[in-house]
Amino acid sequence: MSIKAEEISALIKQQLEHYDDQLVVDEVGTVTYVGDGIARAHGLDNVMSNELLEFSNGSYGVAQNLETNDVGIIIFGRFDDIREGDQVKRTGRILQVPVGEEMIGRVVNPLGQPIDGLGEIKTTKTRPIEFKAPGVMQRQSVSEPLQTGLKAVDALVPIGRGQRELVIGDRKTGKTSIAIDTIINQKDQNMICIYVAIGQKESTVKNQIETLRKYGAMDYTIVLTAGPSEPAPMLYIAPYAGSAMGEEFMYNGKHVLIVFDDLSKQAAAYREISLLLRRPPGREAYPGDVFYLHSRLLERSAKLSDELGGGSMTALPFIETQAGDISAYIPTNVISITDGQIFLESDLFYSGTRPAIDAGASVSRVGGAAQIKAMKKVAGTLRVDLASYRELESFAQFGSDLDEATQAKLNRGRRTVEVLKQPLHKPLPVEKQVLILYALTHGYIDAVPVDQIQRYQDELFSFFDSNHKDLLDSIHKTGNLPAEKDMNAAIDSFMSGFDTGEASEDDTDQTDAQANGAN
Amino acid sequence: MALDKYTVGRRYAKALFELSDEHSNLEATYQELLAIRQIFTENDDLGQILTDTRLNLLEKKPILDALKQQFSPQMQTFLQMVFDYKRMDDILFMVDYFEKMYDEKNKTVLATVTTTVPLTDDQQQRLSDRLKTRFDANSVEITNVVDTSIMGGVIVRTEDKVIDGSIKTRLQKMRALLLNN
Repeated sequence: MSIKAEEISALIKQQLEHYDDQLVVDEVGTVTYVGDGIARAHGLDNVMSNELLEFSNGSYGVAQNLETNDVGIIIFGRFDDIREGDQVKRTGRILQVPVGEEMIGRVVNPLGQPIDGLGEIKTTKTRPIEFKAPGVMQRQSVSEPLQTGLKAVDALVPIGRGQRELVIGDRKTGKTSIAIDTIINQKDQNMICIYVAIGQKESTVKNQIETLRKYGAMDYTIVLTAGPSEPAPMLYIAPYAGSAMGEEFMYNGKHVLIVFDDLSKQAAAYREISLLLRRPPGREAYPGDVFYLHSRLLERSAKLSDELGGGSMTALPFIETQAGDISAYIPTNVISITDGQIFLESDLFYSGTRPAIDAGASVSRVGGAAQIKAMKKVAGTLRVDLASYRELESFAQFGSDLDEATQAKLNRGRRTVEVLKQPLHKPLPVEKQVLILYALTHGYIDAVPVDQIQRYQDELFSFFDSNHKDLLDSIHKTGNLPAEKDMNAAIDSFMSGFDTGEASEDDTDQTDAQANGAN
Repeated sequence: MALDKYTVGRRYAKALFELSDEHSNLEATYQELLAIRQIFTENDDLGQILTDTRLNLLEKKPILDALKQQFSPQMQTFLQMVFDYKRMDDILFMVDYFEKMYDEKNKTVLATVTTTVPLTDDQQQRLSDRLKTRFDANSVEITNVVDTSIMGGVIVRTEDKVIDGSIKTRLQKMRALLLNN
């Protein structure tokens, strides 16, 4: 084949002839003030609210306040080399972030740019960061469970796919651990996780990423982080950007878990922006629309109707309280928006009850609809029992003689608390949770000394794994509890082989109790 | 809350503009304002001095009278009023806004044209003809700025629109494009 050079050059010539300069008309304004991550610009008469603007140094900003004389702009990126008198240009677009499968496994900033040093993310799609939440007709009620792998959560405050469950507590009460364990447990659950770290120390975030990577959880996770050294606008948009990434999957029929860690820092960032933009401050100096800030964000997490593919986005927003004060402005707001909350208490945490979930104050408004049948059966009364135990416990401290029923209740309560303890990064599959709770509620654990319960649990699991795998599998597959006699027989056969190490003492106790009963 | 200079300028200018429009002496007022602008730009501190509270009225009066004397009665009243309300240091913003309203009414567009070499009269004429159709204006007033850093081409800037056809911008765009891919 010969190359016809003349033909090609003729073709190129022809094209060159039609190569016109395409001049675009830009609408510009002049910067009159810049500092603290915001700018004001004069001009820009036709700018739209929330429109993306470009500064002459290449930074982007978003028009926030449209006033008679100027426009208030929040800046994403460098603002130290923007000067008064610089030009700022309209782009006619709104802020968008890249989305899609390519983002999975990456660590990105709120603009969707990679910060993990693994090179460019080759995405083809983008979504606006602000997006209207699905309406009534586009939703359906939450019905599938999201297994967190934490006994205390799955049994007491079950979370469904598409639910918004607030995690609230003081600093250092294990909020982030709940998120990380939940993400780790989503392996092979057909879930995509998005961990949005807002104002978290870079070293902490690095640790979380390492943990996720160690447990193989980065294969289905996007980490979006806006560190404390970023300007406030980055922290402000971070959860919206994360939601946009999640929505892409949700509207394609997939299931997403999104963790906002934490929204109190985002609210503080928004307060900073608002005060700098001279919006009137309200309670605790937050602007008037701080409720809308969180409600419009959390409303985007939903369970979509089957016509839309039945995808879901489950949100776990975090709020950090100061000295347990949940009646502060932001906590009350977010409590009222979400479908329930998990309270973490520092007293419980330091007394060794970890996860430090306060069973009395934690609720899930979706609740039982998001539990498998077997779990519903074994955990049905657990919450109430635990609450009444806490009540009795304080009475029992007076040391007066207690009747037998009360003794039994206290006994069971202590063991319930012990059973619900769980070490870090060891999420349990739901069938094993059902098993241990079955043993608890059917009184098998009552005879085991409290300090032996962790060992009892471990041995019970390995016994079932090797001898009664069929029972576990049947819970896993059908979601129903196997026939009671099969379960009882299996646990009995384990009990006969379990050595509490203080059997003789225990026996005398039991004979005493029986003797008393006889009398 | 204190009004900012733009708001002040707009209010006074609008009042003066509407008054002049009623008396149909817009053109004359505009010319007078241009003279005021010239005086104020030539004497940098004039506005400051006339509003400064450290000077008493007796000291300021002669300056104001000297300023007023050549103007029409309407403009004299205007200057007196602006002086009384201590807004003399915002007078240039008033002139600016008046000019803007005046131009809007006459469909005049002010364009700053940046080039590397000064435009010839013919070029300016052709450019202004083109801009007239582009901005739907009756006349286009061109201010030519020479700036060699744009390397070539033309940048036309009006009130809040920029038509950028400079070599510098095109190179920058090319650079951004190459960096992206």
